[in-house]
Amino acid sequence: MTDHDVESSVRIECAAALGRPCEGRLLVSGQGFNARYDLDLATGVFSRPDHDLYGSSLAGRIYVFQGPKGGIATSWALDALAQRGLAPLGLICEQVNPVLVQGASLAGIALLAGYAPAQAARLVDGACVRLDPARRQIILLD
Amino acid sequence: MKLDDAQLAMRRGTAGPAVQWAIEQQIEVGRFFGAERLIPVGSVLAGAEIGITGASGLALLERLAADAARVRVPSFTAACSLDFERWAEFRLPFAQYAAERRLHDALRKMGFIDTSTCVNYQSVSPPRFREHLGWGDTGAVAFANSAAGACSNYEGGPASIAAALTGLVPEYGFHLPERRRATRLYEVTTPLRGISDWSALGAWIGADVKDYWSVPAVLLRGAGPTIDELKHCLAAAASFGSLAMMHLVGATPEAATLEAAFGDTPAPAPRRIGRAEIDGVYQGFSGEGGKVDLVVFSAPQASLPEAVAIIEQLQGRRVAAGTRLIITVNHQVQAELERLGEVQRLTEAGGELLAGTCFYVMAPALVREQFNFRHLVTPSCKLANILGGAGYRPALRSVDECVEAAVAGVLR
Repeated sequence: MTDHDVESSVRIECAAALGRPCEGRLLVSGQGFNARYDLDLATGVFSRPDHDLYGSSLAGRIYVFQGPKGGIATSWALDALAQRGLAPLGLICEQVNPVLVQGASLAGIALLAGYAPAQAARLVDGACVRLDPARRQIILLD
Repeated sequence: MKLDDAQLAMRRGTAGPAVQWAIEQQIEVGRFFGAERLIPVGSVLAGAEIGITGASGLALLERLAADAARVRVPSFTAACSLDFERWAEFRLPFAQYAAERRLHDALRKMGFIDTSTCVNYQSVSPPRFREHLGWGDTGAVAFANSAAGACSNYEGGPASIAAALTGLVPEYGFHLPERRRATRLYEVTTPLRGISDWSALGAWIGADVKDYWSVPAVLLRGAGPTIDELKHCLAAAASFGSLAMMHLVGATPEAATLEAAFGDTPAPAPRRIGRAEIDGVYQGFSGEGGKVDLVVFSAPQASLPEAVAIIEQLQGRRVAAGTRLIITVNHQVQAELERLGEVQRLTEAGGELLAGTCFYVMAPALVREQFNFRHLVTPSCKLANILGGAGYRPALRSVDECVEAAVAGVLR
């Protein structure tokens, strides 16, 4: 994709962001997320049987989910995954809590949060996107 | 974000690389949330156990300790992943014990008081009204904000370490009076009995809200909760909904009245919670009946009166063969139970006391595999919620029913 194509791509504005720019394919869940409740931390694969991404791996994907749930485990777990090459490239969610932001900061994972609910339908599993935290934008590349 | 001279010096590295790392983390998080400054905290509760820190978190903490990092305010540790005296009885691997030991040694070297408790507010560091805190256990944060009127966000593991090293936190969220006002209203129309009912209430509201920034206010019918009932209610609300604060009108300090809870905003019409809603939570954790492998009183750690009541309820009877009854407490409660002879009464009845841990952080999936555990009974919705993801079939019951299930060895 050329720079011109990127300039003309659809952009989704977010309320807050941190981290470095990245590009990858979306892994989309309709549920909340907690690393302790939902993940096998040894593999980065969703292990909760009733999770809609059960059996999928976070590694190298840009993970879209509703928001964090539960406790503090995610704050350490993102870095633990990152150190072993199992972390997502980026995180996109409607809502955040401090634990998720603290974890993304420690792990150096891009996080964009607070997009308009009407934009959710544009975030389709498998779609290629670029995250631009400095501009608080999700850029749809497909 | 405005930094004062001392904070700018920390950022330049004048206080060493550990403090520099800490304040950089806090500035990035503070900027994300629009914080205008960093504020001092009275104490820190650090959530760090090897099950969630992993090797990378252990390496970070050991590096900070090697860099001569020191806490600047009284700082305590939350529950860890095993009882250092009894870990082998649960067939936990030596590697887990050794790594947890190293992690806690690093925390001690930095000056953390190694209490290993998630109920520090009931024993070692009770919070004060309007005191700013840097606490990292979600149930403890919900208790501090709601029951004591203190002020803390969820300071997750690394953030709580950073708060201890700087003595500061970014000022956003529940440090700001305007974020502490009630945003939703519930009315409980049924009497609630015991910690399991209150835990179910917290679970129901948490699942309904599912938003850290929302603050429910709850109108109660009849007497308010005991401290232990409130503890379980708030822990469940945090577990199911990521909630950090809840007002119980007439029972918590910032909600003497409905008007006080909502401030300048008119209260909305309440959503009613009756017996059907509470029973629905129990039905969500109905178990499968039949043989019981485990009866667990944990999440949060039991207080002294909770533990004594469970032992009293046993009435000298023995736990059934093939069933294990486990109570988790902190070291302070363990010492008092020993002094009172209650530990002996519990063990003579076939029960077990674990100290410094909480069952759900004790590698529960591994323990289940080692013992072929499946059927677990508990009065804690938080425990049931988490262990469902670790392959257990949890059943939520009252404390009395839990004890009876342990004695009978079956769930009726």
